[in-house]
Amino acid sequence: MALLKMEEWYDLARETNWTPSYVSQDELYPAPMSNNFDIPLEKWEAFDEPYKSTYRDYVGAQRDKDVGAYSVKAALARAEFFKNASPHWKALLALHFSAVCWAEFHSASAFARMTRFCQSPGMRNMATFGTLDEIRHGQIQIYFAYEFLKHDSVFDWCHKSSKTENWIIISLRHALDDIAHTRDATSAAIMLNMGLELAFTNLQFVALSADAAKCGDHSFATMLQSIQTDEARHAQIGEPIVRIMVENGKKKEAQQLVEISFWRMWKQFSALSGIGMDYYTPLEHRENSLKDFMEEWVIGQFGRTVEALGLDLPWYWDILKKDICSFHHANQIGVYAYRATEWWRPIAGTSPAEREWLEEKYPGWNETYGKCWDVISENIRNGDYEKTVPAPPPLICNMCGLEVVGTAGNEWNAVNHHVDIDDRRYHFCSEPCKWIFEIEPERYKGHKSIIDRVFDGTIGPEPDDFYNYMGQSESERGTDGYNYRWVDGYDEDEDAEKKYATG
Amino acid sequence: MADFPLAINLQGDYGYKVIVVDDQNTIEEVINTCVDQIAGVFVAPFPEKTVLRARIHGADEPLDNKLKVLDANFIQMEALQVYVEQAQ
Amino acid sequence: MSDQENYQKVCEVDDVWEGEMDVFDVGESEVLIVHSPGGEIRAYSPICPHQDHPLVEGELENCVLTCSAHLWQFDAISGKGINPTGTSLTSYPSKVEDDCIWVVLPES
Repeated sequence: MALLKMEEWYDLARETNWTPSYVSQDELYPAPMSNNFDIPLEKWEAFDEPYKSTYRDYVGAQRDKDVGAYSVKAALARAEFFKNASPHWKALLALHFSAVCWAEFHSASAFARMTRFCQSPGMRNMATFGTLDEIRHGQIQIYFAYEFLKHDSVFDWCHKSSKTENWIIISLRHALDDIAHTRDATSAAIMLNMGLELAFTNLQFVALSADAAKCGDHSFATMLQSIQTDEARHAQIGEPIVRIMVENGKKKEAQQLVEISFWRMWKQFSALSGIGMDYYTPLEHRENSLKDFMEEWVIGQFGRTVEALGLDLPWYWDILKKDICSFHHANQIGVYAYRATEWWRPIAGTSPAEREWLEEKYPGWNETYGKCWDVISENIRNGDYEKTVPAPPPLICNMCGLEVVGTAGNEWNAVNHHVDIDDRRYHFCSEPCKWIFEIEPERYKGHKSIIDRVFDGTIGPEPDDFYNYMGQSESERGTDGYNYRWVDGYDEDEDAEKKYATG
Repeated sequence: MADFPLAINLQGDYGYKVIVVDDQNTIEEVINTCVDQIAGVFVAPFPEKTVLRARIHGADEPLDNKLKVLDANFIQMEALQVYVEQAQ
Repeated sequence: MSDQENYQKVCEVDDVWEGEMDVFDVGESEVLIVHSPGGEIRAYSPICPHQDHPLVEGELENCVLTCSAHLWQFDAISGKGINPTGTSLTSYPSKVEDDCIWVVLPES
């Protein structure tokens, strides 16, 4: 007996639903977990995902993907790519894997909530695959990173980081908790799919994959590409939900959800991908800058998607266009200077040739951020290494958890936004971060940034208290990935690896 | 005499630093503490006769150098800028 | 202006074997030539309508073109979306003449 083709039975299977009789629809889908936004069920049931998949297809396709990715990894295992990689690439890998592994795995919980509590069976079906996808993404990345553990114990942080109070982890965890883990299924679907996945994952997974291939890291490149093929399928839950909301008089609500989540994730990706692309990717393999990618894929492509769905471009779009040229540059200075507060070995990425590239991609870089690096470089040339480590801590944004920064050097411009509640000053790096806070102050006001915790006595006064609070024993505090041997260019000789290997 | 944290952006620096002063310090002393900690680290040392002033972020006028922190009605982690009033 | 004047040469038929696809430069543009099993030859814009990924990096099998980025599938002969439906590749008028493949490209 021949099997039916998918299109012959798909709609029937997808729309098969349960009409509750023992409990009410509202009891089955309570508002805090589900939120129908007062749109009738039959409108939600019009949900139609463009890219269709059956469980049978899913299992087959995913197995093929895993076989592909794992076989590339196995074939390249003997190449010992990691052992011979530059401190640039090692920093990038350490940052990617230790930030992303648990974030993916936690997303499975958000998708599981959608699987149970989304309004229509079509959504719940797609979310089932999404849940499995995110479990896959967490597992495949932690498995790939595991290979590096024998070379560098920093990869312990792939598993450990989410359980620490490291300032960068606080920042990322707060953002993901806000958009995915403390929202009803409908809101989480919009925020996670639109604000994170559709808007930004191409940056970290497609652009980075291309750079990885250029650097010769084919195992990493294949893994990233393989992960991204899943993204389109499960990220498409968000778009039809937005359409349904717009068509049923809930455009304002959908608009706000997209605007909050997009900005929260922009801040995270400006740090992760911005520093990754513009500083950690080896210069000879860089083509596009963060600004180039953001302009094409996010401001361009994602902007068009938002408008095609019937939403407006976010109100802060002009602010974003300026932010892509500035925020990550300023934060990179801090990430380098406060390197002991990171668990990997940060690099400066500002050797003379790299500064030329930065100037080309961001005209004016040398007169602004370059001026801070001039001082840092001069201290290193003079052997005054302790002067490259600042005494006072930086001000941290009470929304995104990253530094409150402005323009440096000859075009110095201090930026600060704040609100005062109950005699407490809350600082923000930008208008949108402040705007998000002011939408629901009760939701956000109890959270303390790492700096708040220093000054309210949560963290003890000694330096060791600070690092121990952040989960960093002495050997887990970052040092310059090149041992300061970068100011006038990088060593090309064979012993360079040995010189950089020790802290 | 009590510790008082202030968020200060020194001219040329890329962002704010949280600098702990004593609430009996004058604004002039605050400026000097800021310069001690940040000049030569993120910002080039200022020429000898540089006059630096402090102002609350967003204000047009500088703070009086003799004003004490305790009397300034600052909130903890008030945002200040320390800037060059006149170059040498 | 007759069609004949608008056709530009892309490549020779032997440059793209049956069951394969490849991308060629025509002036300042790129053209994807798809030679389906069974012999039909088509010319398309080389980028996927989903997120502009190069289609040539994908897979052509049984007259189905699958984009490598997110596995969107298109009918290689009509260009229409199979999964998802409601989308299609941008096709260019093409012909085979004198053992060469010719296309008409859009003005812009």
